[in-house]
Amino acid sequence: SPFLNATFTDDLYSLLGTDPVKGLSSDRANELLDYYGPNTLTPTTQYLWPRLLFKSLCTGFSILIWLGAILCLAAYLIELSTKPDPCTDNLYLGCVLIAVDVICGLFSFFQNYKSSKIMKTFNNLIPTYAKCTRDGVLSTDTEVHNLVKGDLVNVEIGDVIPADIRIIESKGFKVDNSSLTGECVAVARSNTEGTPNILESPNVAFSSALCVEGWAKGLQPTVTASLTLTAKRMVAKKCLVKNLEAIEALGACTTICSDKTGTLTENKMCVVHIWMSDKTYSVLDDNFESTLRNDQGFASLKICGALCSNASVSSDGVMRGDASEKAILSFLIKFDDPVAIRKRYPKIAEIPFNSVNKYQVSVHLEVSSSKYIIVMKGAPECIVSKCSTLIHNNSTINMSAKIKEAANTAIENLANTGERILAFADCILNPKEFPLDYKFDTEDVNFPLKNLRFLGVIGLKDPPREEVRYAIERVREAGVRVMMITGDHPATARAVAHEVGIGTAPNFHVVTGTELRNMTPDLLYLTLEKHYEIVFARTSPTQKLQIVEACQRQGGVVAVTGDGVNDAPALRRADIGISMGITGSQVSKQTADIILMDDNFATIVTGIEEGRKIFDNLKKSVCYILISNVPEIIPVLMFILFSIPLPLGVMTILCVDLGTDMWPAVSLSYEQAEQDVMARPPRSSDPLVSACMLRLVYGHLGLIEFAAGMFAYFIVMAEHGFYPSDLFGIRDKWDNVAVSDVEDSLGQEWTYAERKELERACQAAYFVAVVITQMMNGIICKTRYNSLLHVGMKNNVLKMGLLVELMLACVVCYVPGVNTFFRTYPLRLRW
Amino acid sequence: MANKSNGLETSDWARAPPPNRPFCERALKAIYDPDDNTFLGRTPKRWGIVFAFYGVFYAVLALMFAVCMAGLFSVLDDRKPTFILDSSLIGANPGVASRPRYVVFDAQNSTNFDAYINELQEFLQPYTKETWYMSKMKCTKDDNYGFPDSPCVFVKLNKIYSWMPEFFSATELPADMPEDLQEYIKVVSESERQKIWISCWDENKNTNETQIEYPWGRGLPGRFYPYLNQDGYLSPLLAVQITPPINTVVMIRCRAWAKNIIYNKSLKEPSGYVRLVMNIVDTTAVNSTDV
Repeated sequence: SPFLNATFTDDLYSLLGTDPVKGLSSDRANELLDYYGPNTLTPTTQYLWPRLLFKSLCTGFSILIWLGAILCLAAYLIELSTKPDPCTDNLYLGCVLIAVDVICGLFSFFQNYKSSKIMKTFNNLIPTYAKCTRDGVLSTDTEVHNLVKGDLVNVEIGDVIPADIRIIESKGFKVDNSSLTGECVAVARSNTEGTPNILESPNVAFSSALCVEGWAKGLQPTVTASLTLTAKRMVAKKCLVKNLEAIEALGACTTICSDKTGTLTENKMCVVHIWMSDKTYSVLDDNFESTLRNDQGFASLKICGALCSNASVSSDGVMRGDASEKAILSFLIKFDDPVAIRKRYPKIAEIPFNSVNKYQVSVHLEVSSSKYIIVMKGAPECIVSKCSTLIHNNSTINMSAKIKEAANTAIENLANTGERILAFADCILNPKEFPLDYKFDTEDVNFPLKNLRFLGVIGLKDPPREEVRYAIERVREAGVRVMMITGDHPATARAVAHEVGIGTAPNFHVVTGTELRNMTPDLLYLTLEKHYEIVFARTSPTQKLQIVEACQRQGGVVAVTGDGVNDAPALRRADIGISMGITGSQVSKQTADIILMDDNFATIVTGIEEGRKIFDNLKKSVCYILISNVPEIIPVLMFILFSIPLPLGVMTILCVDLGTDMWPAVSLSYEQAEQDVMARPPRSSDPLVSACMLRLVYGHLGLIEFAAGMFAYFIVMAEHGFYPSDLFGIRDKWDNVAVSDVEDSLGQEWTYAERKELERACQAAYFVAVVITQMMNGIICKTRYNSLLHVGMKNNVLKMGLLVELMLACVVCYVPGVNTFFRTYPLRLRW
Repeated sequence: MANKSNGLETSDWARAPPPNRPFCERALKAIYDPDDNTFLGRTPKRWGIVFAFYGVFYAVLALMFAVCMAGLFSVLDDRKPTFILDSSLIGANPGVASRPRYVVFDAQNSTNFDAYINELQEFLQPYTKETWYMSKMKCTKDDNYGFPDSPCVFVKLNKIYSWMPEFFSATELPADMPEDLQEYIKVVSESERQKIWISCWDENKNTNETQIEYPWGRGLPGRFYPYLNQDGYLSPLLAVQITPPINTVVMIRCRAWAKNIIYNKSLKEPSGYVRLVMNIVDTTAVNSTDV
């Protein structure tokens, strides 16, 4: 690109034909849009439906069927042109094959169409607009795909870069290229000299790279709302599978690398503990409210908390603000009305929180008593050092060293459980010293910030989701290893891991990002082998990727959950990428194979169960279908090698394959999961069609079926006078139309028509024998590990399928034209 | 860290990838691996178990099949079919057959039609001991069965266990019966009428060039029926001597007449008749006409 290296922006403007202030004219923009096309990536999934249809009609196996059908029709046409009375078998066969192909194709087409439609609605949910200057007007609703070369684009914090842009003006502009390059550090981008390598060029920001500096946590509420609506519509599934193979892979999954925030926890801070004077109270206790109802200290704490919290409550009860501020407020709202408190204590002055002071202070006026009150909130060690008294049993006492120590231990204990600790203190100012007209100065502080009254400490925590513990238990039972990878503090990570059951041993291994950085890949590998329960804390996205790769090196099938943009590389690298539907970023959702609509870890368990079930059932179906191959192929071999009349005709083979076998095979996939499906270790190298299964299918079940079929065939033949010994080698005469007197074992002579009718009867017998043994096999295939009595016959679809199979067989046998002859043959001999 | 790296060498959880070997060595190893003492991936003991299992399995399967077949044969009669006449698929309408099944030869090339003579001789071999056959003068080995000028065709009825023909009486002959046959029947004596009549004609009725004679009479004697799988039973035969025009494809149709022989002239579901192609090629004759 010549404009890449244009240092002077003037050159750039002339190159692109744009005005530095006004931007492009909308006419010119439309012209360019026509010329270059919309600003979109080449769509990968959005095929037009006819193409999709064509694709689903002509893939893999169906091509074979098409070929077969064409061959049949060609054979029929040749026969038609050469023979006076062509055999219509080939025509029928061709038509049947085409019908089968079309039906199968349509089926898969609708499946594809539906899922792509869901994805489309998903994409449309997040309207992508860019701020773009045209005709000198900055409009915020230019659709991204309408951007053209030469448009002036404004990008702010949190925006997805709408197109590949050349930066003209910037202020502390940094982008996250992780989804492109996998590097996790935000890269500074500005209007500087370009480099020949466009990827490294610092003056270009790429489309879909994210502007991360100050990246707002959580998406816009509108998006969340609309997503939640979609989630509601798809609540039945709760887990959108973008990549259908993923669910099957999930069944084989051996390791889950889970994110903490949002997946294991609710990503919602809330107050869990309060320490006041000398006691720790658990908010979750039932009698928490009653014990503290008349406590003076708690009342002061409430007032202090309400005044210190920066979160605001709108009239309809929606809170806005930082997560922990919101947590404080929502805790207080249970006991008092913070809005009313704030009205009673209007704010006079405030020193906001900063990382140097580690506290925030504000001065309020108590309207009822006309006294000023100073409230302070901040890091506990900082607050404790500023206090000289504390409130204890409704009275204010001096803070002794002993009490201070007690406070510090309590704080430490709370911190060790992974809670975020905030301490509160207040000071009622003497009205004589600070009269009503006193001017508080926050720059040059003219009010006391020492010798305050210590009120208490609250512990905030992102509580683990309720279902997660049970879910992890089940996952671990299923032999799947769960690891936690989080960017959080090790103590928090450890606490959460312990709570949700990722770490059950008292001293499970916690690896921090710094330790990880010093590890060689081999050492990481060994660590993973050595410690079953392992938690990674303070990790960067690159390290997440490293961990995933190490797990894969162990031969595991790794599922990774993640919601952020920075998780995208790991999600892509993982065998199964799982993204969060609600909190997940667009990029992570695009990368993921599965989207958990409810952001719930427990859904993964269902996914694993579902995946294993699907695999099991697929195996059952495949097994079932393969069995009937044996009694279909061997008769033809017998026909060729031993020259016996054909025991199973082409049409009957089709009947078995596409008619009677269809429903039961499909219904096997409705089979419920076997009870122990979650108690088995994940399958390691278990392909869909294993050698073991083939042995069982071809060596055992298939042969039994064949024997049964042949027996039925021999019965019909023998009872009509053709004894088995005379059947071998009879084919030449049997299939010759000119021979109208084939002698059987008892001297009777058969005309061609009579012989063929007998052959049909035999084929029908063979067919029924195969169908009945197939029904038995259907029941055998029902279970892979459990006994049938254990499982029972609960699958109604299968029951229906077996019934339909029998009915179809009857129809095939009894409906005139197919075969008029089939009476109650002594089948009792065998069954 | 030091003790960890020490653990690497001794502990079994640190797996080393299998060393890379050339293809030949790997292939040899697949056949016989001296380390594990395995042939094709299994130790001899494992192979023994596999063979024993499959041996037993197939033996049991074969045994079951044999038991079933034995059960089947125990209910079968050696002499009599389980189903006879209408209850059997063979039905109660015997088919008509002819020997030879078709007659196409070159009159100039004796080896060409010798095959037919041999076939007929072989077919008629069992009949040579029958008194009724010995009395026949025409269409025998002595006149080469009429070959090559006017070959004989032997028409017979398919054997169907316990089937009895219902003979026509002279008064109730069907309307579509050829007149010459009707006249023939009316002339013969009552006892001679207990026969299944045979009539043959050229399917192309416009040409009267084909001459058809019945040197053995017009009917199959009723005394041969019913067929009950008697020892040494031989189907009755009727010779038809046909003199077709040379170098022409002739379709001869022979119909059997009895009250319970249903005639269906359809080619697709034929019954009650036999059809044979006759084409005698004589190159000299062609040349003579040409000249």
